[in-house]
Amino acid sequence: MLQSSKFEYLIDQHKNKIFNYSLYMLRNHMDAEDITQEVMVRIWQNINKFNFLAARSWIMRTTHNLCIDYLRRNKSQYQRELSIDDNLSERIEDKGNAVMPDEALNQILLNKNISHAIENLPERLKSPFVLYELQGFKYKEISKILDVTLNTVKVNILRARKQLQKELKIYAREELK
Amino acid sequence: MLEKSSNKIDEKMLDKIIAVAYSDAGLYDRMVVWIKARRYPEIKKLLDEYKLTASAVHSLDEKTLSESMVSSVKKRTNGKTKSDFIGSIIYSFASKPLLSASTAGIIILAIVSVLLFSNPPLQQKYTKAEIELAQRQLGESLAIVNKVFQNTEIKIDIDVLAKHVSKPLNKGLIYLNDYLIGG
Repeated sequence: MLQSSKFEYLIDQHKNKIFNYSLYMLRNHMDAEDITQEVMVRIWQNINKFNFLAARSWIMRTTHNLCIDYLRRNKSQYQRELSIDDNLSERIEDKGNAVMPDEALNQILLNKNISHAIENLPERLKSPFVLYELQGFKYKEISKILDVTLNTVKVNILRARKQLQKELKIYAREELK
Repeated sequence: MLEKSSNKIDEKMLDKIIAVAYSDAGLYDRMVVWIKARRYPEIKKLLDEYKLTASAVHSLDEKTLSESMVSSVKKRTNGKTKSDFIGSIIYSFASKPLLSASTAGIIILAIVSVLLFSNPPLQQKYTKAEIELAQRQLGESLAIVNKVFQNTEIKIDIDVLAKHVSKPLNKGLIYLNDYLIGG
């Protein structure tokens, strides 16, 4: 009884985090869903082994490792089939009815550009950036999850921020053309 | 002027600007950047650009996983999809140490207060007859003690002091007297 409660609680708490992280890493909905499913199964298999209070880090470390394995395995045939924002047109239509359509549209486009820019970051910068900025992990937790030093985490997040800014400038210039 | 302000943005300054824009800089760095941003428009522009990106990054929506996916995993793992209410509550507490510690504290406090305030010291009530009986018994007890003391006093005066103390003492004095006079 307690096992299933523990499992359900962990899944409810972390399912979206696992899915989003996988989505940014793999850039594909179906692959991200596969990874999420695999992580859930592993949580169930190890439900009695890991410390409940450290579950968050354990789950994200497992997710990260599975994503990296997946990327390595499918490196040759891996294609960026879908973007994270593949339902963009629907969202634009929805927001088109809002009070300030121009502003809403600009916001959606900016978000889309940012999502793309994050997707395009190199893996070593993307992982700490997504964990820190989008998922709210602390530097120390990220260092445990990615198995790198605290300083490396800090440096990579800073580099990711700079890289993101450069990418966004390129997008802005392309849109102006 | 522009050239001068450009020179002010070295790598260290840029790192500080980025940290301020993403709201994780220290107070000192925030002050430095704020002062320089007021003085140099180029720094302000850069700060605003990074701030815009940071706020957009932080406002990105979290994608939600479809419930059907979660249900299928739950079915695969234990065939149970209904959540266990009590178990969920237990684990929601267990996962938050601060919450569980404060809850435990409140529970202990509640138990202690219930024990302290719900059981006041036992106050026995006696009838008038019982009190009178007790007073009478007390009087009798004191009378017996008094009698014992009186008997003891008489015994000490007559039997102990007279026979066993005064007589030998008197005898000793007579012997001493005779010896001194005779000597």
